[in-house]
Amino acid sequence: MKAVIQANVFNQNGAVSVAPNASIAIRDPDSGALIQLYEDRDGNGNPGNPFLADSRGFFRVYADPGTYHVYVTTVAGTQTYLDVPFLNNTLTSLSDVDPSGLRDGDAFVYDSATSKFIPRRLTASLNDIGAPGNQGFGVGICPDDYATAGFSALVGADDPASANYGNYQYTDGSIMCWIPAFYYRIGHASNPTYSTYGVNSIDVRPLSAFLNLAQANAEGYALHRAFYDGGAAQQGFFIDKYQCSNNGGVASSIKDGNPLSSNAAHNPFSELDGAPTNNYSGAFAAAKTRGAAFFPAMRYMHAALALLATAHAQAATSAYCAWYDADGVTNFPKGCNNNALGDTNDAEVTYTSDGYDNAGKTGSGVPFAKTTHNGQACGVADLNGNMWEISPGLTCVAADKAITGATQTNPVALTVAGHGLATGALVHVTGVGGMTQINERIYTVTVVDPDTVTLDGCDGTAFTAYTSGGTLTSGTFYALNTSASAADLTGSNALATDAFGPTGVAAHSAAIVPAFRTDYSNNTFARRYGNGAAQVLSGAVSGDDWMRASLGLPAAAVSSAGTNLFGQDHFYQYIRNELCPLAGGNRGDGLDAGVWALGLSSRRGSSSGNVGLRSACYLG
Amino acid sequence: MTSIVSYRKAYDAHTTYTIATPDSQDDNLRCTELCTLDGTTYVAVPDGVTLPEQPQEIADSVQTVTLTPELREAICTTSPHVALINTRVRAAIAERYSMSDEIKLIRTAPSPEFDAYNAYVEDCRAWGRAQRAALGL
Repeated sequence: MKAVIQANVFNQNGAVSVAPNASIAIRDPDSGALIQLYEDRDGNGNPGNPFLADSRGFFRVYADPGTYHVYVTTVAGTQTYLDVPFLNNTLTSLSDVDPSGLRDGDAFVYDSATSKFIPRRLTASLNDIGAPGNQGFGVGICPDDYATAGFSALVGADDPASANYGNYQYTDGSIMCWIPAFYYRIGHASNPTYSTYGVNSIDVRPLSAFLNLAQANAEGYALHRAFYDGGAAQQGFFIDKYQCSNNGGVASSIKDGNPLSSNAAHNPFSELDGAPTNNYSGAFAAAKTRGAAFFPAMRYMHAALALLATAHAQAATSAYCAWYDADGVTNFPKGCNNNALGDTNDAEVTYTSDGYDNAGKTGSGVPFAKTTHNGQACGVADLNGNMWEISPGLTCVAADKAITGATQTNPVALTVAGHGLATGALVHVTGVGGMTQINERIYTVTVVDPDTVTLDGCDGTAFTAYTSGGTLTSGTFYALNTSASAADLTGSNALATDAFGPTGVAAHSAAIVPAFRTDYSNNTFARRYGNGAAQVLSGAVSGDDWMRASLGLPAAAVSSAGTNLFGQDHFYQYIRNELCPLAGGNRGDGLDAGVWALGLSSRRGSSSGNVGLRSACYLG
Repeated sequence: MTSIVSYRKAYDAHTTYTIATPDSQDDNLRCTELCTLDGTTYVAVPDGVTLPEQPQEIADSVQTVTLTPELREAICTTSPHVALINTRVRAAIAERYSMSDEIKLIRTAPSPEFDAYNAYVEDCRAWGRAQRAALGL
């Protein structure tokens, strides 16, 4: 007994109507192969496949019971019906479509509850981050009044199967991705990926998964820091799909642009409207060329995208993740990072030169989906390499003191007149003559007297003798408070709104201590994320540990080699006055580049042709 | 002069162990992984760069390479950097002379136009050689 399907099919114009002589193709959903069709229930005759509807747009064919995809092609294009049930003794009709609100290009899915076909996009929930590993994960449909804010939805922005899912366009032409607010849980035994990733397993759930924050916290889920701004929880944020380029004086997110940099040598900020300064602080004015609501993507936004990428990697298959690697060795987004317009881990990935050394044009990576945070065309591009991105929201107020002596003892004792430190303080040491073994490392200190500190765990008995010089740098790190509004920040170091300097941090930030690696000899500046099976990010749902994780600051689990799970991404620990963090790595950073890559050695006034920006905004 | 260092990557359950290179903001001091041939990875190390202490998992395999013509050819054939240099040399020539221009100039040589063409091509090739030399090749 064969199953039957019949229908009057309709045109692409959004209105239900007869489509005379439409071509019908019926395919197996897995293989895509055309299936065998029959002219009657007994399996006789062969109508062909594809076949034509009659002059009234009507057809009736029979097939073995199953679920198939039906493609209806007219001069206007192809209409797609997914997973159409062909059931024994049931007459399935494609005509059972609710005609209200149809759009060109709609694909339909069968709703068994109503026995009707509905546009697939209507099955997608508003503001749903999705499930790791699934189609559309990592972006979503903006629930807020984005039109009033100057955005329009791209065709397919509400269809998880579309390359434009979660993609919106601002009035300057910028393409931005909506990142719905999400809860995450790290290292919990109930995480779906715990059996494989243990304490580094990451689960992500949409806002709708819990009644409120308290319920989420009770189950071990935290709301990411990226979804607080101006003292209020946010529904999500818009972030540039592409690194910014100069779009007639505006720093825009446009595919195949030449990426802006903070240096005169390479598409400088200073050529934008208002001539922003060519240094890292100029990124704030550069972002504002698009509008007052925009700001350089914050540190916690970069970290949120990295968290999504890693959660997706853990749950993915090749179905919805172009960069997926089943072996887990290179299971992370790819990018422009091998100094030859390609990816150091994937020879298939290529970029188009922007004309400056081996930097790529924005979003020019091919295959494009391999270069996005979610391995799908709808994702945020180029978070692994090409250009470092200015990533504020974490800074440091630091000071240097001269070193005038160092002892060959265990531990090493430094003479630093009037050091002003407290036991347990973080310091870094540079420029020491003679006892060079202690240079370019981070330490915690124990205070001996007002002019002497010892370097914890640093045995200097075998070191060469101190001869001269050296600088001890210490400072306090600050993370932007959730009460602060990112759009209000400015780029200098004197005002309460400035992202840098003591006046600004007193107004909008709170002290936080990064968990730097300080044990000699693992305390060099250049580290990488991950250390064997050790937990990299805290699973705390509140407090400083939560803030550190939200900033992408590892919980001490860094090493010289890093781990594949975190892309062996660079973590450059440093104590720098007027710190301006950088994210992602540049075109030649190889393994060091990646979605987690974080440099803490740059300051507000730094300038580089390898450092640009990506902008973001909130709607709330 | 840039030297070539070879090593064999090592793997465990969590990590791919690769060569440690100095951290530098100077693009001219950047070490470049050229390619991997038969499990051996080749890295260009610019003059003046001293490699730091290596991960113990790979330390024994790190060595400076004396390039034979065969190895140079193999690296040049495989390295994406050399491929990119070659592409740029071809593009620079094509930017000024089309294929039909080149055929015509060769057919009508000797001529002043051919001399100018030849000098330009040699300039492009010299640029390519300098770029490859910067990679130790």
